Amino acid sequence: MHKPSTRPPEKWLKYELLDLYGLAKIEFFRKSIRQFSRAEYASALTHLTKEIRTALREKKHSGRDAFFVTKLVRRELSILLPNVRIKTLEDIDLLQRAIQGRPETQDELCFAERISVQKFSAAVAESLLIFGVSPLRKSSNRCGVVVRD
Amino acid sequence: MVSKFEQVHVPGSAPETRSTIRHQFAVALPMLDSIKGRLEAFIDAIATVGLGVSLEYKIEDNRLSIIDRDTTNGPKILGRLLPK
Repeated sequence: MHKPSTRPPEKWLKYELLDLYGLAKIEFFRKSIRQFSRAEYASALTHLTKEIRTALREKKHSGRDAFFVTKLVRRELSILLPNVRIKTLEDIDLLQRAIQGRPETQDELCFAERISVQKFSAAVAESLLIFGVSPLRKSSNRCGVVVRD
Repeated sequence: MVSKFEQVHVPGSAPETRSTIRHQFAVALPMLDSIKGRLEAFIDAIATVGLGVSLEYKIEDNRLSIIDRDTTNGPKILGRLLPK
């Protein structure tokens, strides 16, 4: 059996760097992202199934929508990570298929991030702000603006 | 902090128009300006490594959150800026 590394994945270190510069709080990421090791992928599917059922129930009463962004995170890579957005129970199958396609020995984690969105909120924007030499890829699936001083 | 939009990127699959993105950014700008000092410190640190950076942010319930960042060389940035 491949022994997983104990070094935090590069994706997580990116969050630690944002925390170091006061741009985000690592506690926020600790609360919103649950990490599952390769050996825990079955638990991840069970956990997400339960969470999505709860979210769908709550949506009817609270007006808040919640979904999960799951990423299959290689320790040495922080971009181009396979990800599956889970909004319904059917979406769990998509994650299951993505997981089945991964090699058993892969030193990989599953990040499941809970995203909470207020229904009817007028100002939910998610965008990129790009400084200096633009790392913006033409294929980026995020809207964004490149700015100059 | 910002004097010029150089490029507006709207992916083909996005429902937003360029004008919507500009409008959303105009809403975001005062909030981004309130953390100007921290943004500048971060961007300057990245620049010392010779790279640019993109910051991913969202505004929810009138609150700004920086939720991710990208550079063209992640390991180099982490190696230079994150204490061992």
